[in-house]
Amino acid sequence: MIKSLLWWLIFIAVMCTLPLFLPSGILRFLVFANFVAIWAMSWDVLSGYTGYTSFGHPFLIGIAGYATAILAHEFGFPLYGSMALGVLAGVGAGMAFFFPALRVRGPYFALVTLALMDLAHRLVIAIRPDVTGGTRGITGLPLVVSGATPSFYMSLGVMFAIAIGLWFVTRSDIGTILRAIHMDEDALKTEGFSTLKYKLLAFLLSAVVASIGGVLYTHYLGTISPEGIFGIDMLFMILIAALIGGQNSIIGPIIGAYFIISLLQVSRPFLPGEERWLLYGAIALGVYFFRPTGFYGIATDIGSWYRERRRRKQYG
Amino acid sequence: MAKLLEVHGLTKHFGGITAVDNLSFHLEEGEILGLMGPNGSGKTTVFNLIMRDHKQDSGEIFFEGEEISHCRTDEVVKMGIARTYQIPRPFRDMTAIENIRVSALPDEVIKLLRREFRSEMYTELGKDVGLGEYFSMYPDELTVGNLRRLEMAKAMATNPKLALLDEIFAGLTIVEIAEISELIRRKKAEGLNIIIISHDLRALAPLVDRVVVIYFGRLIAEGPFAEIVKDEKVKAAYLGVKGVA
Repeated sequence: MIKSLLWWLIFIAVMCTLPLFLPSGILRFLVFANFVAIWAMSWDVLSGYTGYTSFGHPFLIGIAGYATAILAHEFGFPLYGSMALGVLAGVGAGMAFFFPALRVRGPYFALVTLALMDLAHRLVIAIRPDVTGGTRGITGLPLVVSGATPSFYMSLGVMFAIAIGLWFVTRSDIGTILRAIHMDEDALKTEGFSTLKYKLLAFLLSAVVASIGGVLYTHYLGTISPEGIFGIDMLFMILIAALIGGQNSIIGPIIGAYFIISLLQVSRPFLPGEERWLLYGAIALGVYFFRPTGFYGIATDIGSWYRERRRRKQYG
Repeated sequence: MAKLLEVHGLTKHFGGITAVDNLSFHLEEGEILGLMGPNGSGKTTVFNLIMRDHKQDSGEIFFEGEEISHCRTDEVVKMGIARTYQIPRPFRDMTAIENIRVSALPDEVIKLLRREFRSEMYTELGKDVGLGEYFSMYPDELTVGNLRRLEMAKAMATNPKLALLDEIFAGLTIVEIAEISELIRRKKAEGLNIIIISHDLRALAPLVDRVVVIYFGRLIAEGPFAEIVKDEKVKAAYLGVKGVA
């Protein structure tokens, strides 16, 4: 535990030095990487661990984001008040619509959550466009911080706080139980576990994290639009970050988010349009085919291979 | 002797099929009860109903005098009933000792957050069923016999008063059957009450105090093993003669 905390500190320290030598344009996309990392971790703690694959995390993000945007823009709520209420709205809507779906498993859960996301997308456009801004969304929202460097530190700080919190929970036996739900939920009930309780816990953690990401992202951009939140690109970004980074590890989604956003930037001059999703798809498929544990799994494999080799050298 | 488990008029339909039909039986304290019947006669369904994996259509189940129909599976387990599965269901990505450890963990979020449940605390449970050398193996690497032992250890980890053993002898060698039988006898001596489902009548005969035979979900005979095997209805049911039930 102490050793892993040390690794976290080193990781954080390295990340904190980035603004010293990176131009603000690059920092801007790293801010986005931090948000994708937050959402991918949120996805991981629910879907990666318990195996209830959600295709609807943008629903949680969007409800929280729209709630704070509307409260701040239409009703003139102070920034932090509307952000807190936004998180509550995201978690509340999740409890009302998302959580009940945890009664169905496998593809059914994925489809129900996907439907929720699409429903939110359509409703935001169709119902009261004078409040939601319709397809154009809401602009001119108050900002949490302004400037590339402060935004980077803000998003990085929140991302790491969430990462360490989720790391602590999932590395405890709560994580063990969540993984056991993935392997055989009914068998776990037969061992005397009320699995609903752990699914609720995983869901609440996931919803709170997604909503915090949602409200901060909204007030980082100062704008929110239906396509930007509920569009299929957002969902793909989160899923691919979690999957190629390595699900059920919490660290993996961070690696995945940074990888996918960096790739997006690097490939932009060559692949400006939608075709870059082909590239992501190919990479995700490749990683998934050869190493379903993702980059994090590959890293731990190399680590254990290295330790094994050193041990062999030592003892002949 | 007190009745530990009592089943009254239990009925369960699956669509048009009546899996369990107005079934009543009981288990006395300190007893090993055999639950017999040909394939598809509803034995496992009875276990599933006791464990609350299914809800019965009518009838009652009493455990230590308390009606358990309103309970969830995990509540029944906490009251002291454990089961093993006909087809072992270990957690595939966990080693044998981790499997046992998970079964023994408390169902309390706060306790689970503290990392105080080390694997070493559970080696006794594993050694007790004879899994001592296989702790670090994954379920895929275990033989059928050792998977059954793991099932036993996982059931024992919940500290039960009553164990429901579903086809515990299926697919085992003669030596393994003898070892598991010995384990079951030892557990009985330690105060565990047991209901065994088995096709293997030779394995069942020396173990059980009493047998309940069901056919198409109905009770057709009940009594000591020696008497049951002479029963005409039981013979007919096992040999597939029509018109017994």
